[in-house]
Amino acid sequence: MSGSPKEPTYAHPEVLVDTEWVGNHLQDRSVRVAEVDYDPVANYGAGHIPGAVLFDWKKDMNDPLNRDILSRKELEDLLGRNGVTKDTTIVLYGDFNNWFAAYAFWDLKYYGVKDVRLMNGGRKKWLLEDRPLTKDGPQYQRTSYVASEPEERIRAYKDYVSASIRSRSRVLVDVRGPKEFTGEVLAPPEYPTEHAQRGGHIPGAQNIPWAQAVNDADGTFKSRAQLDELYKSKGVTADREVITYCRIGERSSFSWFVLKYLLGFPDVKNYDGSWTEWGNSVRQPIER
Amino acid sequence: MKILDCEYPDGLLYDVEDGTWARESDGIYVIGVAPTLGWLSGGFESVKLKSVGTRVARGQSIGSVEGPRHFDVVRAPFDCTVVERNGAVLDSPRLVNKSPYHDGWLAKLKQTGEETSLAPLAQCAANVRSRLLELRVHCFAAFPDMEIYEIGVECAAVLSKLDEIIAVSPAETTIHVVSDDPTAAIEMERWERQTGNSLLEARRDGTLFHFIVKKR
Repeated sequence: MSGSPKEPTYAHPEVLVDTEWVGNHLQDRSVRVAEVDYDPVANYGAGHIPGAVLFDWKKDMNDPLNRDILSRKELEDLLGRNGVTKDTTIVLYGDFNNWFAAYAFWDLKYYGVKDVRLMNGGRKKWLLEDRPLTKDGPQYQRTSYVASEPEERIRAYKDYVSASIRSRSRVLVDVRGPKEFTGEVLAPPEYPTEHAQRGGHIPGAQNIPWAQAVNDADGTFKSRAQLDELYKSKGVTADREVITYCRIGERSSFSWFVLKYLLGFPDVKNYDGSWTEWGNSVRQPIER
Repeated sequence: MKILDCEYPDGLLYDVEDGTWARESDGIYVIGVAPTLGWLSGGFESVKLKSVGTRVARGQSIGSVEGPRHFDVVRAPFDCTVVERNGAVLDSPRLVNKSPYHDGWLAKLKQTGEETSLAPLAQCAANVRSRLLELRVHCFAAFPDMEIYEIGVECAAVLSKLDEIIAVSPAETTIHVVSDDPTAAIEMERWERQTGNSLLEARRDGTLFHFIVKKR
């Protein structure tokens, strides 16, 4: 027997699949693969995993009128028209390093969907490995999916975040880039509609950019040991309730996923209002 | 020729689907990134290329390019061997955007199979046009080093921000300014006269005004 200690694994490895696993399940009728894109024309439309359906982040994952995530009814319709049943394993992947796939993962968990997984490395890794792509839009027989009541323990709202400032038992994690954290940049030019009136961060928040959790080469998650160290070094530990935020809640879903599923923290919330709510609201305290 | 303000030199071959161009001499093809992919990306921050000697089948990737708006692989238009890589673009990925048909080439490929995805412009110009429209790609007079989107901000405030950025930027820095202030066109012309910097392009797109400015 080898004397070297075993590399610690993720707390919930079952929510993560690799590209090879997906490649081996393309014909598996109990698996539904969905590509979640911010920009579907340049991504899903240019070729996607054979059999994968499209979740268009803007159209499918958001309420069309109020600023909110999709309603329970909209989620039931989305899953139903893509042939998902209670027994389906849903595998999400997407553009922008899986940011929007992670957001969809969080949405689905919010409505109690049981078996949702993320494809490690997302669209980027699938392309880098020259795996098969198709432009054919798949057709699945419609089902009638019934979701659960919202799971509010994984979502934070503005008032709750306000009450969490400088709390000992709760810690805020700002996952934006360092220049957004300090207020030097309000919104990157790529997203002109995500502007805020004020720059900076929520008082007391720790800045742990989402990208620090992934390997640059292929967008996969860093190892358990590296992730443990990353968060511990900033005082973000499992005994505290963690609230993640970014600009519109998508990168923070990604870090929420890391903390809740890869590290197994018991209480992690995503503040999806994020900076576009906080930095545009009157009298919200800001630190720079 | 220009296709929707994007430059597509007549003498080259193009793989419209993949967003690449190629130029042949003595059985060796120089391959690079065409405006569709270059402008879609928002400016490359990373270029990776397979090593010299690698054999790549048609449709498989010879490398990848990544910018803040888009990641993509660059595919071989035919079965080939990579015979040279442009080290300059590995060090400065932006060169691919700034000089797509000259200094910003990606690699040289030796064709080993007959089938090709490349076509001369006369055969694919209509496809290029529809692809640019589909991807909503807009090309400007010069690829910017940075962009400033100031929507709902008065032009005077936009200009003071622009001046701050220009002050700390090296000479010849190119900036794409977007404003929805109706007076922007007049103000920018005055700004050019007063500061001596160049206004390379002014374009109106609906309610938005686009300007490409260059520090002198």
